Amino acid sequence: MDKPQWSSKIGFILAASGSAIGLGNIVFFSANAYKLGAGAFYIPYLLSLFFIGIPLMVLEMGLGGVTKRAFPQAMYKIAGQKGEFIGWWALLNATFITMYYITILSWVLGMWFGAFGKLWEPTATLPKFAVKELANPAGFFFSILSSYKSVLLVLAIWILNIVIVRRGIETIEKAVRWFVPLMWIFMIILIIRGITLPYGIEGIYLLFTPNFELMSSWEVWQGAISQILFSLSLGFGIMTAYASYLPKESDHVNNAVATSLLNCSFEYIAGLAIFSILFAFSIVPKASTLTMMFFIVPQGIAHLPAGVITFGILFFTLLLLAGLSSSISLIEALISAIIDKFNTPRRKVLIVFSTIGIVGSILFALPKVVDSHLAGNGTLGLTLLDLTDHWAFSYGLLIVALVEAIVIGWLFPVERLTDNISSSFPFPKKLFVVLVKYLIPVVLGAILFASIKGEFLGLYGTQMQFDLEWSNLSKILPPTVLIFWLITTITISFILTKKKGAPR
Amino acid sequence: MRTLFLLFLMPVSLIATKIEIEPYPPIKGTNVYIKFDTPITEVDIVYRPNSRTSKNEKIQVSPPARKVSWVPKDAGLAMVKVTTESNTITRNISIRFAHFPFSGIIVMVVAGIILLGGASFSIYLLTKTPLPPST
Repeated sequence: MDKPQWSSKIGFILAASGSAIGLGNIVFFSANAYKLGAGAFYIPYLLSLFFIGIPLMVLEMGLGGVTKRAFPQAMYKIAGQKGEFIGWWALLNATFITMYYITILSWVLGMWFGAFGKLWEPTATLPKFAVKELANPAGFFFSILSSYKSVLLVLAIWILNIVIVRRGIETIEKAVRWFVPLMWIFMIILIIRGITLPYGIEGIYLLFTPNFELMSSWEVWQGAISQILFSLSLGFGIMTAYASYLPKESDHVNNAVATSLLNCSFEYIAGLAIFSILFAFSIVPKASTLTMMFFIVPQGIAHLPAGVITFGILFFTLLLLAGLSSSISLIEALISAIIDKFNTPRRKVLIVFSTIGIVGSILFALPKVVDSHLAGNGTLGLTLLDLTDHWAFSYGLLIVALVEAIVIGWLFPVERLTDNISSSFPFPKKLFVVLVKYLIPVVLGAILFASIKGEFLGLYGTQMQFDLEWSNLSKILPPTVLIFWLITTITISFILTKKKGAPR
Repeated sequence: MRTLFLLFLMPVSLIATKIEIEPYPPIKGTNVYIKFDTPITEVDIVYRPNSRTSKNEKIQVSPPARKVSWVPKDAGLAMVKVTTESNTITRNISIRFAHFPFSGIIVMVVAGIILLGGASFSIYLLTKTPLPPST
């Protein structure tokens, strides 16, 4: 059976950049930039893009383009069964992320419905809470979380994903041709609104004015490198899967450069919009992506002198489009790998995968519904999501990117890749080889080491304490999630690696 | 999402306070007055709260005071934290830049040219030739 192919280069670029541009680009970038000193963060972030992000993107896309296989099979061609195992592990890790990502996306859908009116009322009633009435937008958010509506919303988002990936790149390309341009248009409208607010422009000065003193801190560099790695969707195997649908002779270097620059351009304009709103309304970002997405930005929109409903709908539509264009790529990465190896019909793989995925996403949503102790210090559901995100996202991607750089850099080796990929873009091959073989493994290894060291000091390590009402659960939950994540991903990866593939 | 559960603490910090700043918004290096509706004992300014660059400044007060003078040292987001005899109240404020920040504008323009210009150039090169046939 011939492997399908993207109908155009633009279709591929839209899909790849749509995959990279997700919820994190719109809100996580701004939260991270503010936390790490805004101006002090931006220059390290740009340097990380050119010295780590783009070379890794070239590796992932080059791998898919040269081998014409999804991630596990591409890794098999380089490093045999050990490589294939890492490939499957990356995709199964991505499956965990898909499950809770879709849960978060379902809350975005809930907020989108709210943006038509109820979200902008002063308070929301919360019968299950110790505090019966809470100010919006927080109140409305928790009213979604604590009702069975959230399960229906999870189903709705899964159905949307299934519809889009049902015919693979054919339907994905159709969807992203609408989604990605709309995302850009909506974001530009938000920027115009942000900078035309009184003093909004000064928020932009805040984002870009460098702080050289803070720039010498390792923490800022670590944050900037992690932001680039996560923002570009590296370490998921998605880009390898997408590039495998391109002809071998495609310009993989330029594809990688275009995708990376588009992703970071979007982050750039998102930063302009969000920082102008933050400054205009003196809103201080706090804690996390979710806080930024569900509380901080809506709070800014609620302060607008006019057009609150319009801009609210616009913002949540933007989040929905960005989230969907990413979640479909996460789903496609695993599906294409299974089809590649076992030649199983897409429909069958999609039914099995989405059934497991729906159960997983509901498991992230449901504890917040059935937990009657939403008393103010955290819930089981949010803790489960937080812990899974911590291991699967923060560690999973870092480990895969590190192994990928070592395997392709030293075993393939990378010189063979550079000889086999064509480029119309100025491509310094010698520098690329040095970056992949030396700089990237050293930097990623250092970040991984620093993160592991941090476990023994911080929230998830030996000193970890959650303010859950069930005191025993707070001790059991973090290691249980870690062990469950490791055992599940390793066991299934082992089975998929050992299982004989269909003859080709 | 490390401190996700802090979501629940958010609404507490959003409660409106009765701290007034005249003139508002303050400008870096320019004297302003912070006024209160009850006598206060302490005033602290937190520059860039919730960030790694967070910095504190204690303002001299002769309690009980209803008005203090203050010269903002940094531009950006800040938090005014006021302690009265019975409680502590806060208000987030934006401090304007005293001058046009040239370094910030240069970073913004250069980043914009590199990212948006680079992406456009890259897409232009890609679209110059059609997709090669499948092999």
